[in-house]
Amino acid sequence: MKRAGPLLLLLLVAACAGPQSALSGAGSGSGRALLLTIVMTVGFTAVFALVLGLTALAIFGPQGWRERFGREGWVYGLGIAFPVVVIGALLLWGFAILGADEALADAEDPVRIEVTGERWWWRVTYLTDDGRRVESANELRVPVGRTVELALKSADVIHSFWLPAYAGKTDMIPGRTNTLRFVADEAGRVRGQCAEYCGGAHAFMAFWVEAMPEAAFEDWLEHEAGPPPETSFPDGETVFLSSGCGGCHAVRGTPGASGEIGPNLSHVGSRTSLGAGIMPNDREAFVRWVADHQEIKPENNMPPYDILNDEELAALGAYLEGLQ
Amino acid sequence: MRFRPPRPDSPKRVLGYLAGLVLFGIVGAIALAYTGLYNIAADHGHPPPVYWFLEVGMTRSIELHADNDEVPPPAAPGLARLGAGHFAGGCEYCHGKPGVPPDPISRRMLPMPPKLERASDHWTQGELAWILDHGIQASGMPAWPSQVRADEVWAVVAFLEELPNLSTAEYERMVAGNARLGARSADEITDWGEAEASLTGCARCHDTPDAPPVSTLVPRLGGQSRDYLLAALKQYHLGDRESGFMMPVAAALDAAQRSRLADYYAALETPPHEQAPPDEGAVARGEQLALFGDKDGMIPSCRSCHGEGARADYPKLDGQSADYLAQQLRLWQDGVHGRSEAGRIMATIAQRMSAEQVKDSAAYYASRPAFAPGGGTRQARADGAP
Ligand code: HEC
Ligand code: HEC
Ligand code: HEC
Ligand code: HEC
Ligand SMILES: [Cu+2]
Repeated sequence: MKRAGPLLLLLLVAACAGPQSALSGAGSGSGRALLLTIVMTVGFTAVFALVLGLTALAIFGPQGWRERFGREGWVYGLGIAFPVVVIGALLLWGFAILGADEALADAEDPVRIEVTGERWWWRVTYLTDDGRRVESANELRVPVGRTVELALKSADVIHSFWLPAYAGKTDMIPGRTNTLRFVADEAGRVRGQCAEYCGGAHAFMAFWVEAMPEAAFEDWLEHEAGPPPETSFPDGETVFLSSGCGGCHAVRGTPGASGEIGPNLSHVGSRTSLGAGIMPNDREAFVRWVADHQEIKPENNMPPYDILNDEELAALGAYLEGLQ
Repeated sequence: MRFRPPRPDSPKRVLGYLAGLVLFGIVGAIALAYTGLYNIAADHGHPPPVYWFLEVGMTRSIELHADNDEVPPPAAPGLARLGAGHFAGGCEYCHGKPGVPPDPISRRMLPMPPKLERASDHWTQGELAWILDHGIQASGMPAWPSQVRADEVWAVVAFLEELPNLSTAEYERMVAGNARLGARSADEITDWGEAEASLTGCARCHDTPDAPPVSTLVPRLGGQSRDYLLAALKQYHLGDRESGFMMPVAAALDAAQRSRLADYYAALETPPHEQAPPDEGAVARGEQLALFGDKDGMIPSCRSCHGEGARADYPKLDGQSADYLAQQLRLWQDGVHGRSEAGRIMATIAQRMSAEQVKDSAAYYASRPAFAPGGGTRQARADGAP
């Protein structure tokens, strides 16, 4: 029993690690909030221990100590002055930390990204400096060290955008735009999730965010804005177009694939995951998604495609993977 | 306390007699069944009291259960002809036809299937529809082949309304639909192979090289995509697609026959439907939906699946009748269609459509030049005639 306590604590802490942890503090705001949390926890634990110690001393201590504690000065000193000073300081510091994010609003030249919650995936649109709208889905890429300004919207019901490594939850409300700002401190990949029940497949509505060096980000965005390389799997493209996938999904530069109902697939093969953060992204996963998505992600809004045979599925998998 | 019998006119006494009578009746009925004394031979007939009992019971039951307030769907052009096509295959061998008694085998049924020339005098439309949908227990009168297509029986009701006015020859002409049985030479008839015989059956309702389908509720097959025709016939054959008209026809077709029929119709040039020109406004709205979809309603453009370059197992819609297209869309919306693999795709989309969108898209596709073999089209004449 004696050893179980620390072990349990260790397990709990381990569960908090990983790409979707509120304790990773990977962004400027979340980093300061983490520091505040640690200072508070450690500081007040020390205060608590001090109070317990003094109480014990006052009850069980030697006669001399007990007499000394009888004096009124202790009440003024430790009972009033100490809490006022300590709590007051922490409060001011806390305000400063929470206020620091507001300063991000004045940042010059933030990266502007529109994220729209749809049942049950994320439409992601980059607004470039020269006024273009570059649409993608289910994944965000952001430059390190530059303010990111997200315009959060909803296409249907209330969703909540939760990216614990960088910031707290922000609701996505139909007919409104909420703004969320953060700065990624270092390169890396973290995960986020919808945190407001939005019906059927809510539990399968996650996303990945990759923070990358500024120059790499600019190159990536330029590539993302363009069409994918010419496909080496024309058979797969034929299955894609003739089966009506293009009525819901867009592939830039491909006539007949300009649908805006489902995720933009122009570069789907280069994303981290499929189905909004729930599956790996490789050829086999593409085949599984098209063949079984209603079993993998029940009630999602893509029609079931049980008509496709193995050959057609394989061709589609190769084609989709090639959309880099 | 001493037992005192109740007075003869007390309510208790009367109840006692009644209970005794009921008990006697039940015991008597069980005894009748067990002893086998009642002769159930069909050629023996019912004793008059039994006949009276069954007849009154049936009539009252139908009058009670049928819904006379139910409004039949608006009559589609050729509705009675579609009913006639079904009558020839599904009713005639029991009920006979004008001027000709039923076939000698069914004449020996008890009850004997009645001649139906008087049926529409005797029953209201609602009652006829109820009889056709549900059948009549323990008489041989079957229920409708599909139990989820009560909409279809109205075509046969419409035909029963016309039946009293038909001579034998007129009847023959009407039930033959486009098949022109009378025009065939003896040689042709003796040469019938299986596919030919089936084709005769199909032409009772569907299009032929010189005639459009008999009703706007019957789809045009000539020039439709072969793989789609084959898939549809298989769905009817397996019962994956519900239709009281088509399921009995397709049940009898094996895979080879289905394949030959699909080949035959895919290559057949037939005239477009005869239908009233659709409403211009509806056509314009339908065109918008067909070409661009409705993003907010999550409806992709119809063209992405029903336009040029679509899979061979997706149907062509151009020039199909508005009545038929709208009816099919409603069947998906109501969850009647949608059990087949392809049907589940269309069901997802149809269920996102509003009643307006159903009407508009049907009007748009009906207004298009009709599909023809190999991707060509056939233009309808402005007056709607072929
Ligand atoms: C009626 C519209 C519709 C059609 C048609 C459609 N899809 Fe989808 N598709 C969607 C929607 C909506 C999603 C998002 C599902 C979710 O994650 O909730 C999706 C998701 C996907 C994804 C995952 C994308 C990602 O970023 O994770 C792939 C891959 C995909 N579809 C491929 C196809 C293929 C291949 C076809 C044709 C065989 C097709 N889709 C036809 C609507 C459609
Ligand atoms: C297997 C033989 C059989 C077939 C097939 C059949 N019926 Fe009947 N039908 C009967 C019999 C027997 C009755 C008489 C029931 C009774 O009087 O109890 C009957 C009764 C009816 C009645 C009520 C008539 C009346 O006045 O009492 C109608 C209407 C009717 N059938 C129409 C049809 C139609 C239309 C079809 C084809 C869709 C059809 N039947 C197919 C055997 C058949
Ligand atoms: C009694 C009239 C009738 C007869 C006879 C008939 N059909 Fe049909 N057919 C229909 C009706 C009505 C429909 C529409 C049914 C529905 O709602 O699904 C239909 C639908 C079809 C379809 C589906 C077409 C589409 O666009 O979805 C095919 C294929 C078909 N019939 C083939 C045949 C063949 C082949 C034969 C002959 C072996 C035949 N039919 C005989 C009335 C008939
Ligand atoms: C993603 C592909 C897809 C889209 C988009 C689509 N359909 Fe379909 N549609 C199908 C398939 C597949 C079938 C065949 C279903 C079957 O075999 O049971 C079908 C069948 C139909 C039929 C029945 C045709 C017949 O001959 O029986 C109609 C009517 C129809 N669709 C109308 C529409 C309309 C109107 C739209 C646009 C609002 C539309 N479809 C969009 C895939 C699609
Ligand atoms: Cu949610």
